[in-house]
Amino acid sequence: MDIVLINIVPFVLALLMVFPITRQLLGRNGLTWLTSGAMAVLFFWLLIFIPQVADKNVISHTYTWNADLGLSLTWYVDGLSLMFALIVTGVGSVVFFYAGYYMDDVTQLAKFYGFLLAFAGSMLALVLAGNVFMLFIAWEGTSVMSFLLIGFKGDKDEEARTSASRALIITGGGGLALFVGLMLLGVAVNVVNGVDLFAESGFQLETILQADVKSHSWYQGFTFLILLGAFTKSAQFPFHFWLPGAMTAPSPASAYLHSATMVKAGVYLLFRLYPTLGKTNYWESWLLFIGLTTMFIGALFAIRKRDLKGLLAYSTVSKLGAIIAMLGLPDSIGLKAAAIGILAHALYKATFFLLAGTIEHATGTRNLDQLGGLRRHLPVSFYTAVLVGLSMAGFPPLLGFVAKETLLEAMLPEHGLTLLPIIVVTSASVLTVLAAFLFVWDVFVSRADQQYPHFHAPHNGIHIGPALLAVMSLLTGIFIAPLLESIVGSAIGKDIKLYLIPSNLNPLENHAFGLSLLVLFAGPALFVVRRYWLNMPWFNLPTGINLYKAFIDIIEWIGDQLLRSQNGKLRYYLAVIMGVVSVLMLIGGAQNIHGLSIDITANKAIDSVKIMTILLAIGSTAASIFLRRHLLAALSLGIAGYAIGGLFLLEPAPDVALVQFLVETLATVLIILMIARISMRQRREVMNVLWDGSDDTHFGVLRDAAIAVIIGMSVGIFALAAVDDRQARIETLEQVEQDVIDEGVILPEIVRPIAMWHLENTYKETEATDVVAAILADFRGTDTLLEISVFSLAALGVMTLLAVPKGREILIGKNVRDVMQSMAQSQEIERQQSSGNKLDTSQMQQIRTKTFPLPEKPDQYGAYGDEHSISRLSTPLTRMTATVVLPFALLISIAHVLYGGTAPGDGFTAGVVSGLAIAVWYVIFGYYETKGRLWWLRPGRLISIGLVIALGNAVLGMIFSEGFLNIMKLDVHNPPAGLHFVSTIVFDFAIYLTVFGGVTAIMEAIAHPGEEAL
Amino acid sequence: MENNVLVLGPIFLPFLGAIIALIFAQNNRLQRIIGLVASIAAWLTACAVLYQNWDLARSGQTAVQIYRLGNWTPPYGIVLVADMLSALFVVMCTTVLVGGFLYTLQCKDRCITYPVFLPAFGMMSAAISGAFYTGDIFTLFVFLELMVISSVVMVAIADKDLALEAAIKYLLISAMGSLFLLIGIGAVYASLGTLTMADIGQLLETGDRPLLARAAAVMLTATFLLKSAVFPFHFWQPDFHTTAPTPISAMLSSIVVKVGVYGVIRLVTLLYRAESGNIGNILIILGIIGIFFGGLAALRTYDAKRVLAYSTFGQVGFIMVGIGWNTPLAMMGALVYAVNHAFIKSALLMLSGVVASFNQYKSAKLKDLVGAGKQKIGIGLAYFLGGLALAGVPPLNGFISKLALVRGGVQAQAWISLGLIVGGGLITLLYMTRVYVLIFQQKPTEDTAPQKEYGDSYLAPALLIAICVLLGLFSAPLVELARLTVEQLGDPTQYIHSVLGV
Repeated sequence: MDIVLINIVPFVLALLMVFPITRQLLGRNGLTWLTSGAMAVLFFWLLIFIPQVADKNVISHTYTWNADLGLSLTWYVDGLSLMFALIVTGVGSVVFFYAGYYMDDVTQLAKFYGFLLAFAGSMLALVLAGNVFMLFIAWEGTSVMSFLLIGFKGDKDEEARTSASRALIITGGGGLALFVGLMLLGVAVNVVNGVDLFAESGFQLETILQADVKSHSWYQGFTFLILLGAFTKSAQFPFHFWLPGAMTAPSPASAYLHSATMVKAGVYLLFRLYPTLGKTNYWESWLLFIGLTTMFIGALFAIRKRDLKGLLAYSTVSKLGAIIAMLGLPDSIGLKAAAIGILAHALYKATFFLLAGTIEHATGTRNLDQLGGLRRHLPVSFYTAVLVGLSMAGFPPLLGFVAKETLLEAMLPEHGLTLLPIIVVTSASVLTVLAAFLFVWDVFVSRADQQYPHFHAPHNGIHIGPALLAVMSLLTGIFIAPLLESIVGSAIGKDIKLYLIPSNLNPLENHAFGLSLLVLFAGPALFVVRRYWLNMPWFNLPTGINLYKAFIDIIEWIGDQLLRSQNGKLRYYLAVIMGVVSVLMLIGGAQNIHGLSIDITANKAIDSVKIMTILLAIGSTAASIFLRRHLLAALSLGIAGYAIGGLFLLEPAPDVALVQFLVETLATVLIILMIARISMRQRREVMNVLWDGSDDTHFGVLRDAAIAVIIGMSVGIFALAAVDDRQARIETLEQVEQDVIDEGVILPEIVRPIAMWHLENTYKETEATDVVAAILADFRGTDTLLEISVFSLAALGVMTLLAVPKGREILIGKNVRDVMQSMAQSQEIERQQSSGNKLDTSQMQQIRTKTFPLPEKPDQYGAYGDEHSISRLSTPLTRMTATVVLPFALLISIAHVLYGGTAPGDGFTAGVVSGLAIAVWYVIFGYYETKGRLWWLRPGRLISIGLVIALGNAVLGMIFSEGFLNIMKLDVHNPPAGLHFVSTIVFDFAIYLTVFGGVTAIMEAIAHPGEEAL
Repeated sequence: MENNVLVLGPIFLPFLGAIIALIFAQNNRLQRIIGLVASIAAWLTACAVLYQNWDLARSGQTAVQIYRLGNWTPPYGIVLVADMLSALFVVMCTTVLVGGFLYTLQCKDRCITYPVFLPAFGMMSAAISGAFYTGDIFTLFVFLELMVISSVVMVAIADKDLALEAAIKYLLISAMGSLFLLIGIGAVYASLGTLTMADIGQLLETGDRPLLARAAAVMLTATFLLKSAVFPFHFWQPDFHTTAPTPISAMLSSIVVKVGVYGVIRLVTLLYRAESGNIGNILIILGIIGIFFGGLAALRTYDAKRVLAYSTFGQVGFIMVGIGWNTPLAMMGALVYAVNHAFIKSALLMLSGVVASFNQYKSAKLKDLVGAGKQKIGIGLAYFLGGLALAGVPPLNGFISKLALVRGGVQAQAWISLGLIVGGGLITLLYMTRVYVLIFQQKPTEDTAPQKEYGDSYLAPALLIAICVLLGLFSAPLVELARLTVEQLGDPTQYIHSVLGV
């Protein structure tokens, strides 16, 4: 339980930092003491666990998080976790204290603390995780916090932004590999252990540590993925480049994340999984190869860097490589050295980063060439630097000495290694000594007379943290046995002896000691003569950053190419879509359809009239493609529609035929009206934008034709097969029914097509004799309700759309006087603007609210004194016809509604008929006169009333009858004129109103004379 | 089985709201409030239906709620069916829709003041819920039509110049899709004589049914892929989703694409179980192409909303691959993915819209948004969380989706496609960091520095992001729902028997 609390504390504190009240209450000092104090408390709290852990006890707590996914939160403490947790809290405490004096702005400080605390929490969760999922989650958490911290100064610094993203992509990508690796590992563990594949225990560390997966066939696969995750996180070659880039983070963050803790997460993971995955050739060769390469390259780059933090970053890379390499040594011989290396490095490298921060804070630069002689200005820092410099270089009696000693010993060829590792390690160690000397000398000692015009002496408190860590390097070196033996011992899981001074001091017998002495002499020697070789022209090693950039370039290039496919031409879009569908049809449909014998003559009802009609339909459709004039094309399309209507009539299906005729008429009228309204030039332009009218190459036409033919034939086969199918089905059904009668078998009713049921039961159920009408208004009334919504929405959309472009008022729900009024207002605004008056919003508003005098009545032409609106078709004869047609049309419509249940025609056809009459009015009388004379006609209102009635009828059915949209029968005996009063009449009336309103709305929008008339 | 009147709620309450909003066409303020109230009411009923199902499923009973419209017995009339799958999807949609209506309350777009806008929005909500709930394939077609026309209307009248062009393209392409669907339905009806999905599923499963209905599977699959904008049916999507007014583009890219996802799930689990292998292979191939196409295009495109539109293209690919694997865990992963993606994507699009609304040109082009979010800490935090969720970073809900999906892949032993989708996941991280850094970290340029004082409110996306965080931290209920759903999908007799009452 304690351990969970320890883990939660940083998150709680991070949450506190979100609220401004925290920093206002506490102030700078309060924040500093709160955070660093809390981390110190956690550190000492963790120390209590040492005795327990030293006895090889494991502390673990599990909370189920998501049982279905096998997710649980498990905290797990053993020696290894404890060692890392101590580093996280111990170094954390120092870093938090330091940051309080490093950040100038309190707001920034609170934000910084928030990020750092969230990171500390994630890092603790990572090292204390007892479940690989929790480990992964914490792993990603540290990557994200690292991204935020690297980009902390991103607003000022372009490099900070790119480095932050780069670090996130590299570690995030590695995280994905790790994720899959862990997942596969979990599966393998479960297979080996013989437990359920996705049981919750499958991903617990305890299970994994005991499993033997090395013989599993996936071993190399998941090991590789896990290694990839670890190498990216721990900045191993060739992914190391993100770490030097990460130096744009504020120095405390660099000290904490990028030297002491986060970059060690990869090391921790490999350490953790060593018992499960390690000790194989595969593991050892990868780790040794990558680790040694990284160690050498890092050390080499470090000494050439003139940027203080760059030098430290590369030396960190080098050290991480050394630790990785040690984990790759056979028979666990490197574990002790790795553990000590981790501790020593955390102590001295964090100090160096903090010192770098102090130096930058004081002088404003981190360039070694601009620094020097700081011994006078920053004496405390100087002594601290000397101390940790000696530790880094590996001089006794500091901890760094022991670390180097154990490292060299582990790498000796005596353990069955070749000579290469020891050579690499020795030379890298020499370079490390050099780097430490360079840092201390160039910053503090050389050029004693260096002047700092902007020197800004830091607060004394800033020195406390680094000094404390440096002293720790010294103390742990001198008192190594009592302080570290139990921690390191329990971390690597065996009892060990640690000592500062080796028992055998003969360099020829104790090879490690001998090499160590060599390093300690060679390093300073090279340092003394550095001016003769260090500045020589250098070669640029190819590094991962080039690979990374090339990778990014390539995918960006691919992205650009892909975007070119989005060329905006509808013709290609449709060609691709239909092409793919035809391919799918050929692949998928062909195998299913073949074997189906299609016999056109099976349907006996083929006669010459039908064939003529079909030919007419086909011919006029083809004509609509080839006719270049839009008006003619529209007309021939109308003819095709009529021909199909004729087919329905011949079938005979009068209901459908009636609808077809009316819809065709309406559509053709609409198209023609629109064509008349839009100029040829405009139409061509639109065609070019949408359709690509310019590129009528042969290939394009052939391609489109081929696709059309394939689609058309497929659909044709569909239709024919359907006919054939139905015939076969009916025959089978009749046969089965005969059998039923013959043998008395009871057949489930469900096998019969629903149409037969409708034919048989319509009158019984609905009292309607017209089955089609009953289906539309009753059985499938919901569909109709939705379709009228579709229709009215489309109409309202058209209306809004045609009213919008010039910002005119929208007409819905307004009577003609309001419309005229707003037009007059717009006219006024336009008049004032064209005469050079600049109107501001309030003036506009004023005009908008003003009332203009309008003529009381339309003049004889119906227009409000505007000759443009008079139609050319407006002759006495046509005016008379139109006037007469309207009442008749309304009467026919009412008849359609009333007799919808018994005869062809229904609410929809009624609405279209009335709407067409209105269309005639608009054509003959023009917009203004129609609006003026038919003042009662408000399409928006018709639509809403219609929809209200429709929905109300449905709801009433729910209340008073058997359900939503159920018909209510009004008990009227001997109804007049053969009428049945059922609620479908109400519904039909609603449909009528809606459709009528919709058609009128579209007509009104089209008939509106547009801007030129104003 | 008794009619459950709650099933009507998510469809007809927004529908009613739309009609009332139409009556009050003059009062835009009132319209917006009506829309919000109706959507909340719909959300409540949707939750109630899901809760009832959840309760039943947990106790091992048949978790299907039905409502027979007009009280006609299926298959002779239309039936609404809320099984686990449709109830879950409707809750997802109504939740996001409440967010959408909440956004319209404080949205400064001009097009929202047009009287037709909120009725159309209400109709779209009704249509989405209806498409999930209907148990009749023809009614599904009608709901899809309503959905298309309402979204086309709202996009066509949007403030942007390009919107009309995008709307026309979508309308025409969608008409093509409707034609496919209609042909497919016609073929099914011609050979099976029924339109009720339960009936179709049963007839195609048992007996030697005509092959024509199987060939119709191609048409139906193509239609649903078109609705979800899966490669190569995606061309309309970036334009259409980008030019839409912010609250609508948030709906389109998050839940409207899920209608196609739902349709495909129904195809492989109910209607065409025998063909699910073939359909699955198509889904995997097209899905993976989509992941890379969408991701890479999102990386290079020029507009903050367009990035997210292309991202939807990619994310739907993940879902399709999960459905294509078609093992219980993979299907569960796909469901969790679909739900989580809806919340993440709607929130991100709204946040982009909010940032753009402060912009002096009201543009979402990246060059106009450089550093635009620098001072907006809350929006920045929300966007950051949303971006991480989209990329699948724990402990946000996107991680849960990815985890569930990857486990499905492991179960399906589909190593190649699994590797590809995990690799494709990295692209998400690339484009999201790119946009985040550009908008929220970079210093504003001279051109982008001047900002309007007032913009859209970010309440709605903030709430959606909160849902994302909660669904990450407390993922168990959603995953359990998905598991129960998959169990039910694995046993289609539950659905069939509840509807047909056999």
